[in-house]
Amino acid sequence: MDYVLTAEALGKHYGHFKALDGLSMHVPKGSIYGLVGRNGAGKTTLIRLVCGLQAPTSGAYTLYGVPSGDRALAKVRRRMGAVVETPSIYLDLTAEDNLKEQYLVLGRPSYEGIPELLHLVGLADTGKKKARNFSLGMKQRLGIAIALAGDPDLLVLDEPVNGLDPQGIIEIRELILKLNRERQITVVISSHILDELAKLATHYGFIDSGRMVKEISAQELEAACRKCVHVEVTDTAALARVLDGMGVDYKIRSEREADVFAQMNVSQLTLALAKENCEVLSMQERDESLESYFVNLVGGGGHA
Amino acid sequence: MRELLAANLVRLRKTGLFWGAVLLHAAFALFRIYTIVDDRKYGYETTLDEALFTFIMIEGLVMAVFIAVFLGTEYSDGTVRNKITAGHGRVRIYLANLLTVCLACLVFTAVYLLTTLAVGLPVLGGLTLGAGVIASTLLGTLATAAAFCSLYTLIGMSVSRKSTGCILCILLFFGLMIASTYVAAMLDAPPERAAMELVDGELVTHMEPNPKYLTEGKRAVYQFVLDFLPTGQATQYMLITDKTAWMSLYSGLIVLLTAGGGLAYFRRKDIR
Repeated sequence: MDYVLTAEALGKHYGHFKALDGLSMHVPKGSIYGLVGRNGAGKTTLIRLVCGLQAPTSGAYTLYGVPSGDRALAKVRRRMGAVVETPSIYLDLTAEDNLKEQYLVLGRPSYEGIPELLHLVGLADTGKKKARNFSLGMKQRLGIAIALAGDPDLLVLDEPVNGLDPQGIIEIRELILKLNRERQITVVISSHILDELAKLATHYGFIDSGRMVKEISAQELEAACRKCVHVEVTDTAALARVLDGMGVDYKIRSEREADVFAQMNVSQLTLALAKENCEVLSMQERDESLESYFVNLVGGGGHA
Repeated sequence: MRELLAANLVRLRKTGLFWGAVLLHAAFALFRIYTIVDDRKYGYETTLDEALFTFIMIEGLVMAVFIAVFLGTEYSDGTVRNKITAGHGRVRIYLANLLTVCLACLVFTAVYLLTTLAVGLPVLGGLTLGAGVIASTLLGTLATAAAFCSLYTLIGMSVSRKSTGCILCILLFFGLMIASTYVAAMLDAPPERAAMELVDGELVTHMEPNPKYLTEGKRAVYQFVLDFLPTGQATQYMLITDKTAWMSLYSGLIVLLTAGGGLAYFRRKDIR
């Protein structure tokens, strides 16, 4: 498989604090790679290292096959655009002037393409309005436009929907999908909104305490997040006996709740439980969500 | 680096503070001419030459604020990240910024001089200094201005908070000014001072050796310090000096040392 970005045993220490601790990562070309992790897991630190804003303490990464520390990396970076934490925009300039600045930084021969870029991110009508008067959503979109100014093949977005309203989230999501599908841009996106990421990502990297806990494709994740029937009963011990007798896979969640990983005949189960003096209080079908998969993977506690 | 310079210069043109500083220099030139006109009313034979190089001291303060704000914006708005992510090396980013603020300083100097000459020549008459002296002093003041720029760039590129950078630059300027004022005062101390004593019930004044008068060895050290400090150089340029070559050399040394130090730090700095 062709990887656009890889990291091998990447480490970053701030004094005694280990923000990254032997992290390894592989971003396939053309994917939308979702970085999932708790607050302080190391997502932003990883993005900062990859963007060249900070140097790793140990380990290395490669960008389009060029290792970190190599002089050729500077040229390869032109193929990359990024929004790190907050959009990098001159607040005293208009949207158009911000893009002109970035065009100059990139050495582009003319300002051709700026109107199209503004239209793409929905900022075509901002006129002479200075960026400091933009809403948060507008600033985020301008930040993405600046990241796109160099026609990148790789887009790195650090929580791009942070603080956006639902409409703004939808617009950013559709933009990312459009860029990936129409321009084949590889996107690395970190987000706390797991449900949103689930609608976008083709691959996931789960980070915890500065380490990559698991990398998995969306298809593999779908297979792993099994459908189940969530059952609430008066006696899970009785339920366990009945299910063992039926040869069905299950997991007891609490004194009254369990997940049954099989399609069952509800009448049969209810009758069998009634014989054990166990009442069925509720039954509902469930898919394991990205959220629950993440919580199970990193051990719960704290919010993603 | 051309790309970075181009981007910086376009931004400079759109920066309100830059144009404010331009107007300030023009206004200061007019004010300086006015003070000479006023001096002449009271019989002083002040010439236009004395207004020519007064700008250097005010420029030291103006550049402190301008550079801290202009460079600090790159951190506060986060736009320095765009340059690094685009693949530009830290050395190029630093040098492009240093060159940009030096160019801004050159513009301010040009505005001051042009205003002084455009208004001053018709009002106050011609210059009395020779072309050679004017040229060498001008070059000297530009070297001093470059030293100021390099000192403030070191702070502006090292400190992430714009307000902190601004305060440090202003404090540095006033610290240098106080130091050079003190040194100049020590150098100006006369060899003898007047002392009074009571003789037969009457106060009698006599001259006695001044303990603050610097001996030869100390004098040389103090003079070196005054020649080395950018504010000390500015003071001497305002009064016209013949030590332009040495002071320009010291300014060059300041630029080398501060740019080198600033580069070394900026290269290792973790950018958030």
